[in-house]
Amino acid sequence: MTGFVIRKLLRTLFTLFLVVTFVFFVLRLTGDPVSAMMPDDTDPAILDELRKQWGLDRPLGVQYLEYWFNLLQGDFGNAYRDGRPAIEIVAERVPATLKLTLTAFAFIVIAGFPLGIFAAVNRGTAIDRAIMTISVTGFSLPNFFLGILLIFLLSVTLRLLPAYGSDHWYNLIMPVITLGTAGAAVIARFVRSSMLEVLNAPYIRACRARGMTERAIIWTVALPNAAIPTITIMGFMVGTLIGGSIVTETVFAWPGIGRLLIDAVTARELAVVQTVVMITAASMVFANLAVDLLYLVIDPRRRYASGTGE
Amino acid sequence: MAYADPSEAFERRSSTQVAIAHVIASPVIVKMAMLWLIMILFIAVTARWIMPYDYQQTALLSRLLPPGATGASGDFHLLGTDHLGRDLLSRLFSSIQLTMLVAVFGTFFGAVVGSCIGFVAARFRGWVDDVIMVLVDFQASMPFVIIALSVIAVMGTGNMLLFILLVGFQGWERYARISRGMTLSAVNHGYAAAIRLLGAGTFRVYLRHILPNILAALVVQVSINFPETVILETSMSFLGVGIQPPNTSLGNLLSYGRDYLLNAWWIAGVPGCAIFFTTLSMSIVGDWLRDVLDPTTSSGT
Repeated sequence: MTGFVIRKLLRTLFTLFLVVTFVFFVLRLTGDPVSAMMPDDTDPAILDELRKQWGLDRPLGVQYLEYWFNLLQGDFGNAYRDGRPAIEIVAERVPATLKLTLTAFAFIVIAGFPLGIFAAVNRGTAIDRAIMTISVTGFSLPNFFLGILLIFLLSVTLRLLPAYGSDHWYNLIMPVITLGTAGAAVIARFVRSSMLEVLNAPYIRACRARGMTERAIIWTVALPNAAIPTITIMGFMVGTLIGGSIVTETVFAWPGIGRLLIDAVTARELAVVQTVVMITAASMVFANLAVDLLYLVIDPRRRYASGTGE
Repeated sequence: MAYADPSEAFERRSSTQVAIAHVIASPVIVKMAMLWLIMILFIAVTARWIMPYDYQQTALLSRLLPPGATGASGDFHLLGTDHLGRDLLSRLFSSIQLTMLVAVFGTFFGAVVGSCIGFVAARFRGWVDDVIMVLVDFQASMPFVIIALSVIAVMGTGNMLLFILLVGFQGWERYARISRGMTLSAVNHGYAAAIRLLGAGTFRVYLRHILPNILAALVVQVSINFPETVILETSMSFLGVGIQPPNTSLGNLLSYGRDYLLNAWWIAGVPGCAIFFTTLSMSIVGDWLRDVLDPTTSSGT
């Protein structure tokens, strides 16, 4: 088991190394950052001067090492426009995004699980079909359109909620539904098929043979077993949420890193872009690590399997 | 992965009659979805000829007309006009054309490149395979939109070819994983080795013998990937980092409409519904296709 954990940790570090390398090469090889940032009619002498100043005239290997050296010291470069450290600009946007994504995550679990269980228990009935129809619809509804629909319905027509703002708890309602609906739909579908699989397993038949009530079987035996594989999907959700928050934050003018990223891409603030990319990648990589480790805690079979070297 | 008898799968695909029988036997909802997709494809191909007006023609006296209204110059606007008085139906057709163009070419590009990467991994094994699989894992652990945005940040917006390739590249790692995995199991079946012993070259073995056998799995992946490509393109255009004016995709159209929800809901509503019904139809047809092509998995369980 220790070996398994160490292997996973090494893999995590390696992926982080790949992320940094990827960002470095995308920023250096797909174009010249200096001419990308400056207006097209800038004097070539000024461009050369800037290149020298930023160390872009040196060999790629040297730049790459220096890049690592700076990153490890927490230096992600400075924003081009106001000269502030990029990490600082990003850091002040993180709480808003965390608030949004964590609430949306809770929404996904709270909405997705009961729907999936309910559909599985009522398999083949009208309830099942209705839930699955909602699920396919929720999954196909692009979140930017869902956000606009919500604004149209709740803000413009019914005048229940303000379309913009982030100061009150009720400001969270529409962004969270926008961000979480697709995920909840995926979870509902997955929980349903996972439950159905478990309900057909021999040990469930054994429970029935022993006279357990159907209710007890579903809640104490089937659900815990069916929930295990959903952990993997929950790990994927982190990526979906981060990707989705870019759109959601833009639609609702939410002051998080998603909207910051779009602004930075449009303004070509490469230091800010790379910081956001790395923070995002790091959170995804650590989410995957957490999923792997969570399996060890929850599923004893994994513990033994990994203990004997798989 | 359990897989149907290759000869049976081959027979099914080669027979148009069986395919038609499957379509006729499909549920009503699938038929409706197919009908919608056929209509969208028809519009995408013929947009230039069937649009009633020039999609860029502004008319300041006919601004924000509701659907079915007649403009100042006596022009009829079935879906109304936008904030510059441009005919929404014409803009919708033009946007459907561009969105479909990106989706079709992008998906095709991603499928071909991704599958080839998988073939290369399976053909060479060893360190080539290792490197490719590390990249596949890396891609699977990053939201693609973040990668696309960082490339756009450097290259700038407005390069349409780059954008199509970028959007299409989404999901390459899944094609690579499928084609690699299924090629490896095909090699184990022995028929590939047998053909090789008969003197067939690498390309012949892969294109003529392995590809037809794994095509069903790749087609299923395309049906999953296609709506995702549409959503990625429209989201990026919606965010202003995708298709740039004067060209317009459904995402651009929707983003203009956002500012006019209060007095002209149709500007956002029409393209939004077009995107939604298209992705929904693709999901429905895709689900159905999966059941037909792969008898070992059925959505009923």
